[in-house]
Amino acid sequence: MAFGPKQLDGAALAAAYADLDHSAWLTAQRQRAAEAYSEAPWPEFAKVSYHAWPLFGTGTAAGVTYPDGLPTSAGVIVRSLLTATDADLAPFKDYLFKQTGPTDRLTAFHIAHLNSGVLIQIPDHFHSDQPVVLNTRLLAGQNAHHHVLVVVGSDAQVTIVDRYTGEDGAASADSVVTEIVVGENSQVNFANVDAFGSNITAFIRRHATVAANGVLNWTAGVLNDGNMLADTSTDLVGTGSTADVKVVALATGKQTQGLNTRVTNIGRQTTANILQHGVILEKAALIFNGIGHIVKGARGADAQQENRVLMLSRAAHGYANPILLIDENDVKAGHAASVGRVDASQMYYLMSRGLTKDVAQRLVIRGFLGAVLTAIPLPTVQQELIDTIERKLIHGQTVAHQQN
Amino acid sequence: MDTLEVKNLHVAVDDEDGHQEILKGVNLTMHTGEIHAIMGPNGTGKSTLSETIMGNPKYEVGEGDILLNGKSILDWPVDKRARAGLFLAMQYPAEIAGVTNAEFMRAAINARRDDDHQISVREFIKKLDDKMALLDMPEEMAERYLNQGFSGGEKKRNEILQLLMIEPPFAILDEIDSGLDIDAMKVVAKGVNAMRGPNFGTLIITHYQRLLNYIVPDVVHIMMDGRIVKSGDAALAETLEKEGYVGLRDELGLDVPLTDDTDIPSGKGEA
Ligand SMILES: Nc1ncnc2c1ncn2[C@@H]1O[C@H](COP(=O)(O)OP(=O)(O)OP(=O)(O)O)[C@@H](O)[C@H]1O
Ligand SMILES: [Mg+2]
Repeated sequence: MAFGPKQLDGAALAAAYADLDHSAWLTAQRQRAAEAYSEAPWPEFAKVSYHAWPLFGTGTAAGVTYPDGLPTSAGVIVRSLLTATDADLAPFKDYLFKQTGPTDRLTAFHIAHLNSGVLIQIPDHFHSDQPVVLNTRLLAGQNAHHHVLVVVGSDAQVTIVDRYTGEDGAASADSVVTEIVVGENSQVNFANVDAFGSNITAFIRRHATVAANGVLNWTAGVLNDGNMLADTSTDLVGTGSTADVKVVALATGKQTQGLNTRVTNIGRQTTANILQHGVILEKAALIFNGIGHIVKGARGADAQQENRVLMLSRAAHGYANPILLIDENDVKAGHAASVGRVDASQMYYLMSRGLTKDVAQRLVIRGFLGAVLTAIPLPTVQQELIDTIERKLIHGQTVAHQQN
Repeated sequence: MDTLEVKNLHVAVDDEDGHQEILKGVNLTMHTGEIHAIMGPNGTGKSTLSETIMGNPKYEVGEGDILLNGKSILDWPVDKRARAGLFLAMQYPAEIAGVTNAEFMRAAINARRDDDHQISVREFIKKLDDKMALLDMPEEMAERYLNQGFSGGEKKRNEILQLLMIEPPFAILDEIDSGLDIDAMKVVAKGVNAMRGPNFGTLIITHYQRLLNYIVPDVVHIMMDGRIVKSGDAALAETLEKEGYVGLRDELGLDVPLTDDTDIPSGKGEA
């Protein structure tokens, strides 16, 4: 089903999901998305040609499970999207599909075919040292169209970990779309780790808005093995709001990972920081598009970004592509980008102490990714990410040795 | 007793001026239990010799051999030479962000051990604490990123710390005293002397006789223009301190240009 269907039949989809949806409102949203689909443009991922990827899987059964169940935390409301009634949806309706509406082809397809999702509301003034952790497993051979909405009220402080693994086996085409709302004066540490296998081709989109004086510290670990697109975007809407977005990515095998990491400064005195560090092994391709957009009226805005890629093989393809769009005069903006190889003098130094080439290389890479890894809010998640990276690096090195 | 032999070593580098021979036949034999020092004018090839022994791929051996316990190591990569017993305290150690000093040293120790005999965290920390105390290093240096933002003196101390942690049979110390204040130099000398014994041999490269007052060498070699031109006991360093390289060159009848040659035109047949 390369390139996807030309159009979607809204009425047929509505009929197919009418029994699954517990809310007529949700079914109406599907229908609206289905109707928007044929006219909607493809989402823009500069330098990634993904149009022939199998991204258009269908199926009414849920494509995910929650190995640890849904999170429970005093005061926090958690609902499953498809079983939510109109009344359950009341606190979420103002936000659901608002940031990620059916304005591009893949998101429109996603909404029309939703087969699982989670809604989380963190109330005003919420404070907890305990993170809210959501573990989601994508099933083999079952196309998941999974939607998450997290609404954080005002004056709250919370850490949220959104973690994906995948079941190995038959292929599937999955979409995961997440919306995050950060209320006034709230501080949100949001960490997502995407680590599923090569059997899954994925469209991942996460979008956040931050209200006045809100702070979003976002860390993303992109460790999937299959072809994937990931758009990680933040709108700094409120005056004085801040986003600090750190992304670590590892591309291996023959996969292509295309990442857009974007912050849009809309409010005055808003501060945006993007840091992306990625490593490419074997024949993989990794594209970092760092997009800093300062809109007219965002006086006093600051948009900084750094995109760096390390390539470990001659056959690797890497791009670090900073895009700055500035429509206001009274602002600060800066960017740094590089695509390079592991530093030979660092390797020599480490090896001169007896470390093998492979161990030295993994150490330099871990150091390179450290700026992002150390920002991950939960030590167990941090360690898991380090272990996953280590495992993938060892695998990549083994493959490289076999080819030599 | 271990033996390190350098035989008729010729080494070249490729730079913008083409292929340039730097070492022109170096001979040197050392055993564990011995302390050797090499002195010589700037640019004479001392660092080239140390890097070539260690296995820096930038340097190309044209002729001659390097043997460890009778076995040629020329074909060995740097990490294999290190595990076989060589250590080089570098003149310009690399900085590596994101890798802590402690994590690196543990990896270096474990690289010499098989999977069933890796050093325990406890044993490692105990050893690290002891060695850092010996070198007057503050504890937090262990958790800092490897050489990142270290001052010149801190880097030198950190090289000696690695030496004490790894305990190799042979260490080459390339200008371990340069840029050190007098107290720091004494600390570094204390570290090296702590290693002294029948199972440790070292080659100390220095410009200053002063270091050799603290680490008294068994043999002193003078290197000029890519060769060892004279060897002797510790007294040779003192003579050199007094007379300089010009005096020695003229005494030996060498045709070598030196930077402090002002009154002697450099040409053939001066002697
Ligand atoms: N990688 C290299 N590329 C080009 N030239 C080199 C390289 N390494 C050394 N050389 C040259 O070889 C010569 C010897 O250098 P080396 O660093 O070995 O001298 P040294 O005796 O250690 O000097 P110093 O006392 O100043 O440290 C110098 O002329 C130097 O410029
Ligand atoms: Mg030197």
